[in-house]
Amino acid sequence: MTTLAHEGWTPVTPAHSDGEYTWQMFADAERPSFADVVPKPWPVGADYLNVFIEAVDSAGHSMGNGTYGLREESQPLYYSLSSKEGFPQFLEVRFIEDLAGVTVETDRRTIVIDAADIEPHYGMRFWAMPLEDGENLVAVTSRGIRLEHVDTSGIPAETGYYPLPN
Amino acid sequence: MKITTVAAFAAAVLVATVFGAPSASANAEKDDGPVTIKVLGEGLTVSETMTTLLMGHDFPGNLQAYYVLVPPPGDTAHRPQTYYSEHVLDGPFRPGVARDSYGPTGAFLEGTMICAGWLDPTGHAHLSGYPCVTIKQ
Repeated sequence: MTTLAHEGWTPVTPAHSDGEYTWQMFADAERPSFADVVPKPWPVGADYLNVFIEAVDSAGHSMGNGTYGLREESQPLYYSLSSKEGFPQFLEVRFIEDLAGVTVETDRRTIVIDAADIEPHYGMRFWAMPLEDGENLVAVTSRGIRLEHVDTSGIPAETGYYPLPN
Repeated sequence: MKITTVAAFAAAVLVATVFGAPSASANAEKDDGPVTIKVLGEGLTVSETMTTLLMGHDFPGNLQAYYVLVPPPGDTAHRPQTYYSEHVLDGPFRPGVARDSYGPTGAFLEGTMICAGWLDPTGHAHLSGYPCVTIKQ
């Protein structure tokens, strides 16, 4: 189904489907040659883990978005959002394996992710889901860590710096 | 000439309407921690690439965006390349959002990855977040 699987990436979640879309997360600690192209210095304790999500719709269109892979010690819990025209917005969460679980809050619902249900890879557990049309992420939390999501989509398109309102 | 987001969207819609292009598009967005990347375009052609950085606290340094182009899997003839925006935003800053709209554009091979990050040219701080989008039909 996916290109990343064929390219030797490690699946870090099972393939999930809601009937319309199928999605799966992959990771790769080897490629590409990150150290050559990203400005140094790296933060102390950081390593490299490229994490991607792939999604396919019923017509066979696919999307693949991810991160270029710097994994930092200061990030025991981390999330990303992916979107592509024609696809729902996907939330991806990764967390260190000794966290018991993660709670996702949106403006419509609360989702509790139990770590015991997720097989760890690379010392972390990975989880992804599509948001509903118009649903907005509020926060991702675990054991005293609360990552509030700030929507920056409304800022002007011109290059510059835009202070947040007080 | 710099075109605005709205103009890029309008151009893409117009092309799709006039030429009956497939609904597939290069339009994609990725948030990774405080950094976002957004590409606008049609098919494998990217008309605009932009990135934002959410700065949640006062910041004494300057800010510069960079972009990494990663060739598609199997393309061994090319190596990943980094492009630095020519626009450096001069600090200090109070909490806010930095935007750079000068990322790579053009026609790309299917599977090319475009990533974005931010750095402080004064070298005082490491800035996290390296989102990537894959250019696909």
